[in-house]
Order: sequence, then structure tokens, then C-alpha cells
Amino acid sequence: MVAAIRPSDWNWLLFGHLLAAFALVAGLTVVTLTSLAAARSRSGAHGALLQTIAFRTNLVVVIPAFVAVHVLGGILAGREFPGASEEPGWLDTSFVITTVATVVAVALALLQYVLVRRAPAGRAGDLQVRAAACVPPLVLAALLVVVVLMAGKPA
Amino acid sequence: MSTYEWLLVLHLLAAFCFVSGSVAAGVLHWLAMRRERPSEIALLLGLVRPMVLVIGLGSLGALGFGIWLTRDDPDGVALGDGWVVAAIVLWLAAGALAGPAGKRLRQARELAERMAADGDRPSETLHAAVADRTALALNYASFALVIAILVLMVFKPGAG
Repeated sequence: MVAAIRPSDWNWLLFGHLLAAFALVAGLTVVTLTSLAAARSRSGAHGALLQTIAFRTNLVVVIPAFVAVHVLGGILAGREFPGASEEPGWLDTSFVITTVATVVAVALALLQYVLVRRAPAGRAGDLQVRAAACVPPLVLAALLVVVVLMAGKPA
Repeated sequence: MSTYEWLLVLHLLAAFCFVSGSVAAGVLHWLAMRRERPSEIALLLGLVRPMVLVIGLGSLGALGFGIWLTRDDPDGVALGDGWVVAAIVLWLAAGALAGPAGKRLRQARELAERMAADGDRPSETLHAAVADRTALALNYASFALVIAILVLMVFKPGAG
């Protein structure tokens, strides 16, 4: 069924694009779960552990997966819609959302880095912890909107 | 959007819940295997719990909406096509392998919770339970089958 999204001969590209997208959503899910748990944690040691996991997962999985999704999606779009003016609205919107989400993920990594550095000394601010917990679910929700756009291709 | 397009959206969203949820749960399990303190192991395995429901619903949704899609597929894909039947068989096998693995992991989490409440000291027994070879083998095999389903969905071998 998945291949019906892009009826083409570029199955390897589509397969790579899908694997990157699955890895991206998986990584964001881990970042979301650990960030929310860190914000709720009453133990400083557990909070620090969860913040570290969220930061590393964002850096090692989420951001690289965003890049892979962008690159492979761009190649697929270029082959399916050779002229820039031919690109449909749903594709443009998806690219805009994904680009903004990538920038937000990078900004989140910077915030998480600050939290990881400050957490062992107990200097992580409450507002920073809450911000780091609120952002990942929003990025995840934005990605689900992209999935809907990619699959449904609304006119 | 047509009914077919809505079904495709739901099929894909369910597939994301199924596959990405499984990967996220696997990552949290792997992270738990690398910890020593029972409270930390219990904390990380506790985060897997909400994923179990997501994976279950995603797994059922991907199958159900996938079968529904074959009823009025514009490309003529039918439920009896070889690659569709193979995907359903692999889905059943993946579920059969993941079930016992999940049960062993739940027992490990419960042990970690008990040990965390009882002094929170590192234990070889707990480490062995979290890194249970049978559970790991079943999980890896189940995940390999899920990837095989993805390959079938994208490449549709034998389709006209």
C-alpha cells in the first residue's frame, strides 16, 4: 500500500525515505517520552539521566533522520515533479513544515545541551526543563500532519 | 480526499505507530540494558509501557486498513495477491514472536521495580533478566519480519 503514495520506479529511494521517516518518528517518540518524564521526575539523578538520553537521541537519531528525510524526499520530489512550478501544494507545505521542524529540533538540541550541563549541579531552570518537555510533542504532532499530507495528497 | 485516500492516511499513520513505536521501545530496552541501578532500569522500562498500547493499535490498524484498502485499490491490488498474502503471514509471525518477548520484558520491569524499592542495589539477576537472550532473539526476529513487510509494501514483488 505504501508504494501507492508515489507510483514510480524509484523504490529504493522511497524505501530509504520511509526508513528515515520511521527512524525520525521513533527518535522523536523517545525524546518526547524522556523529556516529559524528566520534567515530572522528582529525583535529580533520574531527571539528569532522562535529559541526557533525550539530548543524545535528538543529536544522534532525530537530526540526522531529518536530514535524510529532507535529502531523499527532495530527490524523489525532483524526479516526480521535474519543474519547480509543478510541485503541488501538499508537497510545498510538507517541505515547509519539515524544514521548520528541523530548525526547531536543532534549537531544542542546544537547549538540551544546556540542561545536560547544568542538571548535575542542580542549576537547570524550571522554565528550561518545561520548554524542553513541551517542544518534542509539538514537533511530533507536526510530523504526523506531514504524514497525513504525504499520504492523502489533498488537492 | 476520497475514501481510498483517507484509508491510505490511516494505514500509514497506523504503520508509523507500529514500526516507530517498536523502534522506540527497542531503544528504551537497549538503554535499560546499559544501566546498573534497578531504579534506572525500572524507569526506562516503565517508559516502554505506554508504547505497548501504541504498537498494538498500530499493528492492528496497519493490518485492518491495509486489508480494507485492497477492496477498492485503483491499481488493482487484491487481497489474494502473493505479496499481500506474504505480508499478512509475516505480520502474524512478527506478532507471535513479539508476544513472548514482551512478557519476559514485563517480568524484568517488575523485578526492577521490586529491587528498586528494596535497596536499589545493582544485581546480576536483574541484569540477566533485562538482557534475556531469548527475549532479545525474539525481538530481533520480530523486527526483521516487520522490515520484510516494509520491503514487500514498497517493492510489491510480483505485482503487475
